[in-house]
Amino acid sequence: MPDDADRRRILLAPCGIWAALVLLGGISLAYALAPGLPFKLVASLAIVIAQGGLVLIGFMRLGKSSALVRTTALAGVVWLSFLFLMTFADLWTR
Amino acid sequence: MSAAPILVEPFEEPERQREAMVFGLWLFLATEILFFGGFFFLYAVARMQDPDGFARGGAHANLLLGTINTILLMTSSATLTIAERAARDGWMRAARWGIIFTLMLGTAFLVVKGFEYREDLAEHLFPAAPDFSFAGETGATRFWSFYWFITLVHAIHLTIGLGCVARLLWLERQGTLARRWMVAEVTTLYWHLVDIVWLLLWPLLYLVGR
Amino acid sequence: MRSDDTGLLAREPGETSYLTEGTTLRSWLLSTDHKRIAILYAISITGFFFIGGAAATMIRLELFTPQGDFTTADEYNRLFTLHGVIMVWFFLVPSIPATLGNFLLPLMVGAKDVAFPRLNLMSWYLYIIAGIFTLTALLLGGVDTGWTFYTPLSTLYSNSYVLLAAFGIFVVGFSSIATGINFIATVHLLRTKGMTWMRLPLFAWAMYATSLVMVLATPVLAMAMLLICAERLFGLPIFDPRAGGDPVLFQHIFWFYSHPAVYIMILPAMGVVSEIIACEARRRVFGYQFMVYAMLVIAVIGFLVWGHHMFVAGQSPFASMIFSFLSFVIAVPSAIKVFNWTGTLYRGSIRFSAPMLYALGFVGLFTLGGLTGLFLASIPVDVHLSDTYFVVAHFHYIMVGGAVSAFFGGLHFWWPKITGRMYSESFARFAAITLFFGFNFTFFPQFILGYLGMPRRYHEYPPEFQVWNVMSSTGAVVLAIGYLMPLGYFAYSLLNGKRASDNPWEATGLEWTTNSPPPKHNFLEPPVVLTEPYAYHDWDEAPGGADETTQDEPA
Repeated sequence: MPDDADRRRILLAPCGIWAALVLLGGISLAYALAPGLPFKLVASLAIVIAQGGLVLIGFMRLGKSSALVRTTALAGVVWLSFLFLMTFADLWTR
Repeated sequence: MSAAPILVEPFEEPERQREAMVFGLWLFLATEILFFGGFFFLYAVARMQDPDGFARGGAHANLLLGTINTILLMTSSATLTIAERAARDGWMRAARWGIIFTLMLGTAFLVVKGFEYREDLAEHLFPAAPDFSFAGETGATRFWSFYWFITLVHAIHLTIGLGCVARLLWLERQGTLARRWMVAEVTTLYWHLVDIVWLLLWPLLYLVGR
Repeated sequence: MRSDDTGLLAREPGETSYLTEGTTLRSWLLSTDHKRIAILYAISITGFFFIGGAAATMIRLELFTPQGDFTTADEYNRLFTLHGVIMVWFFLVPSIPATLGNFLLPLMVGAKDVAFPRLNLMSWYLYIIAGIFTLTALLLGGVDTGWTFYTPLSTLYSNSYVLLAAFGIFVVGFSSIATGINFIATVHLLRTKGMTWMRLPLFAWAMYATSLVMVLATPVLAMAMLLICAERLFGLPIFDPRAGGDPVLFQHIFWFYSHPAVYIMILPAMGVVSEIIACEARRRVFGYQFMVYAMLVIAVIGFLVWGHHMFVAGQSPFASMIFSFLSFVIAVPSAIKVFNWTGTLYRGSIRFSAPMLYALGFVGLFTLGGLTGLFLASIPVDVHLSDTYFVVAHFHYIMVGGAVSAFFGGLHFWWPKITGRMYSESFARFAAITLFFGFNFTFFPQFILGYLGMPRRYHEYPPEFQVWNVMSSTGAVVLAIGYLMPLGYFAYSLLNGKRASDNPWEATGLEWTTNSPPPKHNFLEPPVVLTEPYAYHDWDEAPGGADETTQDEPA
């Protein structure tokens, strides 16, 4: 059984990440709703990347995972970039 | 610390088994990245071809219910993380309540989604229906096609996730969750990925054209 | 002594193997033993092979005469779609990985089982469920879109059972993803003591490279099929040009999977052939490390060449040039492999056994298929050859001449290990030669037909093409005999074959150190690896080694 310090850590660390996620979501919402601001899509995507990073590192502990696991996650993204890269090479030069 | 984990074939050491389970699940998550990536690719192309049409269609998405769902899902990720870490440390009371909260939040997401679908239908936002609000507008039509398709696919993923989390509750009832915290760990990884997908869908579906 | 110990498949009374551990149907259908799952897969893919083969037979019958007298145009469309869908997803993709790979990979790395045995069983059930969906589509009347499911034909116009078939393919994708995940985790985490990466047999490397492609390509196909299902089921106009959709985008995501899928079919074949050639020539594989890197490079670059299927589909010339260049690039590692197989034969003492005949056949047919692939990768030639029989001949050389020959070779090579029985060598050699000649009689005329301009996917053709088509159809009869013969002598060997020793070919590799057939947990105690793979001779006997100058044994 964990002692009180462990219990606080188990309960509070995810709550901190949660608060950061909600805060970022709030910023995203406010930026999208505020009239006349530029780069709305870029801003919201940047915030999603930050949120995704928080989930990956804070919740899924990707930073503490083995190199093998991190490579696997990276491979998913790299192979997806193949799809984007090669297809946009077609779409942008039609 | 944690209780001695239950070993399954063909493993002989807990550490190796955990490595394999986490690695195997991450391989699956990599396939999920590519699966949803295929969709996001089509979305990106369509939106670049007709940003204004997307904005006209997207302005009718139900921002309130979408945002409520985003918060529900973020919260469920936090509660499941607490459950998983508590289970690993043998604090079963916290694990049980974390799982129950997650199940409630996930179910609430689906219920809210159901209400949202009803309102969308009442506003004639289903592209294949004869009374579709944006009939003849290609950008808005594609936006709503994507909306229905991907929210349904996401809801199916979430439902599968609920099944996996419910299994954790069952394992807890059986009294073996403490020795099977690796199952909780990989279930949590899947749940988080479904959460991340929604975090990305939220601005792409609800913040367009605001 | 239990009564089944003396059953047909036990080597001697009292000895148990994976085959004697339970003989009920339930003990097979719920088994998590990778060897039993391999057998389940082998039986089911054989069934699908004959369904696909029946469709091919009817296609060749129709093409025997220039008139459309055997089938209507619509029936013909449904036949070649059936042939393609069944052969690609229900035979070729799972053929070597799910049968030989499942059986051998844990044995080759010295493991008790794959990393996730229950996932492995689930993979087979998914395959069966998917097969039921697709067969239902067939029984209801078939699909007429071709195996590529191009939109908008598949989504808007086709009046056939696209939804069921596409859903079946969606499900069978998960079956191959499950196999892929299992193999990657097995190779990474379950190698036995001393089995370093550079000691892995090339077949294990081939399974690893194949699994990478399965895991990273299949999800995109799943998305493509699901989008077609959504468009047909709910009418969501995702690729509908009237709603601003772009059908060429479907082709992009379809070929993002379906070109790498070619490497899912051919990489395992390369692995099988490397094992057979090294053993039957009694030589170390020439340039082992190059063979490994070539396979990995093929697996990666295989993802970057899909656009060569779309040269005439409205793709931009710039993109076509990039895809064309990369398609030439991928020929380099493929050529390295062909050269290294040939190099392995050099100074070997070659046994022309049945597996070796299949393997040598593979090298020749793969080379021809690969070289004609270069014709098609070059844009100016492809513009003329697109959608002609040249393309049909090219990919059949790779997939049938290449992958299926290697599958048969592997089946013969490991048959004694899998069943504990020897097959009839003379019949097997005869079948291998029949298959090689039948194959060439069937498909070489199609190169000529394509060059002369006969388009694919038509049930009628101008009379001047008849002589080549008759040749092709006649060859198909010979080919069919080549395929049917093994069924006969394999079945006979199960009942009356000679008992196989543990290592009948005197091959290297851990799978040959255990019993034939192997016991339930593969090895009685975990093996330890102390040598490099393919230690068929001492290093100083290698070309350029010490004995180049001193031929004689030292006194």
